[in-house]
Amino acid sequence: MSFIPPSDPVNKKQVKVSQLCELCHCRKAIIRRPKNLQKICKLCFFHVFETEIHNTIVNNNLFYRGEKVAIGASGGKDSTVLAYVLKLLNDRYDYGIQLVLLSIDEGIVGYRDDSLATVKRNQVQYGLPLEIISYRELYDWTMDEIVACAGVRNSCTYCGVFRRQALDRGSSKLGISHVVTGHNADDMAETVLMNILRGDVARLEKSTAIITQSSGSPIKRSKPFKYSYQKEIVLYAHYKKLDYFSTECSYAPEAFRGTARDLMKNLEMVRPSCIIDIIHSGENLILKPKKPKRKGPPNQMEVRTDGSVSLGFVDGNKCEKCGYLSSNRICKACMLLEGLENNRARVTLDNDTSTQGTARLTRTLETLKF
Amino acid sequence: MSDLYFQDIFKVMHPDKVRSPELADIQNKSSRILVPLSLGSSSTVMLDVLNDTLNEQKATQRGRTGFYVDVLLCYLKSEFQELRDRAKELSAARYTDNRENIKFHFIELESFFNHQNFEKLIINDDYLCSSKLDTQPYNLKDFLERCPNRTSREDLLTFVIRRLVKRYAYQHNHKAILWGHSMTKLADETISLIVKGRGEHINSLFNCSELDQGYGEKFRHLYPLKDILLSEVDAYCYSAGLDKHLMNYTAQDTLLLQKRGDIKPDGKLIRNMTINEMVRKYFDDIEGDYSNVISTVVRTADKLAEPKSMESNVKCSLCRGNIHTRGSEWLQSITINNGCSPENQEDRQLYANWYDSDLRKERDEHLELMRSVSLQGESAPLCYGCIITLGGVKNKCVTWPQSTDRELNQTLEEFVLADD
Repeated sequence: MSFIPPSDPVNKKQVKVSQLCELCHCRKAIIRRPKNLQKICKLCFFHVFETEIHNTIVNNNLFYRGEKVAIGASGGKDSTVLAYVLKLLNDRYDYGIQLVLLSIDEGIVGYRDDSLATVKRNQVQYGLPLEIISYRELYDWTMDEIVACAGVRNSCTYCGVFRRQALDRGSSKLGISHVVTGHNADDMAETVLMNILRGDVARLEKSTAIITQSSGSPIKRSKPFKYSYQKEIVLYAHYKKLDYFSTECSYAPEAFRGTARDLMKNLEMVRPSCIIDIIHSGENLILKPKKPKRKGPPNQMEVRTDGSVSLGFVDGNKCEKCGYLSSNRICKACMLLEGLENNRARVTLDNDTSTQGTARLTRTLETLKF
Repeated sequence: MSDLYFQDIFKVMHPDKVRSPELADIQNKSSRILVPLSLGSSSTVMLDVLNDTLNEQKATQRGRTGFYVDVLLCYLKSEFQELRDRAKELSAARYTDNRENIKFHFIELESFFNHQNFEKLIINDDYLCSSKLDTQPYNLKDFLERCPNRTSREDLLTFVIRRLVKRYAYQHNHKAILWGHSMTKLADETISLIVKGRGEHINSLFNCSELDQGYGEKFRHLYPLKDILLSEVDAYCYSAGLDKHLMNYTAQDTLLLQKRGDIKPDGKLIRNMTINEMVRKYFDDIEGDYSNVISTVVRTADKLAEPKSMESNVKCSLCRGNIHTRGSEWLQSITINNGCSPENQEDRQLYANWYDSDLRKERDEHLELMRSVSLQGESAPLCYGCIITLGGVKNKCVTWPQSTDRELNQTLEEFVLADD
């Protein structure tokens, strides 16, 4: 499937003075920025969008010269724009970094295979090397099989844990110690709200960190789109005519996260700056010092309800099974895998496609002809 | 009641080896608390519970009581008559036995703008604020008309009410202000503060364990209904027969087994809601599936500390909260405000059209005003939330009373119900 960019609309109407861009005053404004409600033209939009990301990179010292950086690429709008902008800024401001596209194939037939086709086209369009790591080769499971086994309700729990680890393993394989992801300001604000609503104090202080890294891990992650609105990312992809895959994951998003997302969309309608305001609040949420716990008897071990054994928090501790970073003896991914293995069907049919999920069905329906 | 400060306020003091009868009496009489009353369900229920406590103390302590309650009602001129009648009715129906312990005071919101030195606060394109002395008379109506939407109007009105209440408590030596916020209200206030970029102020607003430093460490803020859901407060309202005394509020009947038929759902459009209303609606909507969210938010808010200040003792010129970050610098670092130059003849022609237009003149006039204020006036520190609020006000400019000791000590004109 090749990509043909859409043509520009032809509109030769006389431009009124009130319609002009508030920054350059010489071109017709096409968007209103949610951040400060300024009406700006296409060129100024490209300029401010790219410069703001450059400022975020420079102010936070995200890269150093000669660094190899993996871009977590899913083929969606965020990661496509990220790959495009990072390549552009690297050339324009001479960061001196080596960019590589790193994709994870979760094994969702009808969704991920299509989005990976987009990533493969991006590889050619931007001239960047691409590495694809699949759940099948890492865990011997695909997401379709996991959903068929564990149900759709927990799909995001499995996928989130496995993807995090897969990105780390993929970058280690490539000898890269820095992964950039397309998390944007909306995602960041949503996380702050979610952590407050769920009372997740352990994650509260770090929910807006632009760089995350465990002391024992060689891999650091960063989010250059921390201050970029999702709306602006979509518009940038649209006006730059970028080739991206726009379907949501077919396994329904987490129900509670959905309610928080709806709340944020409503809030944004009344107060467009609220996303950046939430991030500002998130950066200033500090916890009171914890009261020291009463010490238990010596050699006491805390066994959690899910059967994991707490080691107390030791940064850089490794899983006894797979050697991946874990604050417990056995990491979360291995725990989940063990549960899945116990429930794996002993006998299967040859060429069985029943495990393939709703995405496949949607694709079939989309191409159905009457 | 185990906290010493609570005991000092509420307990009935008796003569003992250290205290003479006179001293115990003085101690009881000096235990004054301030209850801001909006005649919504929470504050009305709290006042009723305080009245019950006084009755209980009288019954068990031979007619002695441990504290005195000043009820404060802040009003707009247009609603004074109704407010006074309702308060009178409430007092006559329920608090006649404790007439000497519970006194009703009324303060007009307009008094915030009476006989004071004002300063004009104006914010420029770099999010920096300047202040200049403003000698022109100013009133609440002018002030509210400058707000572009209900949220910023409510925000600024909340500052006015909060400041009047605190000033009143400071001037009348109250030991505590008892706010009637229910758990639901505290949760939606917490989320709203986060959404408005005021997350840094959550601790200082809901701190019950320390004296208010901005008002001479004279009183504490207490939230006695902190552990009670609004639906429970509303149910209490009905069962105690308080619902007929409420004003501008209809108590919900969600917990009642026998529903009241006359309650209409609030059919407001999302677009017309304030942020607080929207968050409240969110909590109402999820209460069925995720009922623990409200208490989780309040417990999380309790665990928050005050962030470290950039500079000590710098207060926001608008909300008087402590400033912890340089909001203007933060905004400048993430927002670019310069555009691209003209590229072709068409661009240059459009620029020329703009240059000759009234729009350019208006912009220049506004820039000139900002320049003159920043040249003649002083730089005024603002917290991040107020930078955003002020940025949304008409002409990014507001006239606000200067914060001085004189203002703090200037007696507020009040109307006392008992005098009528």
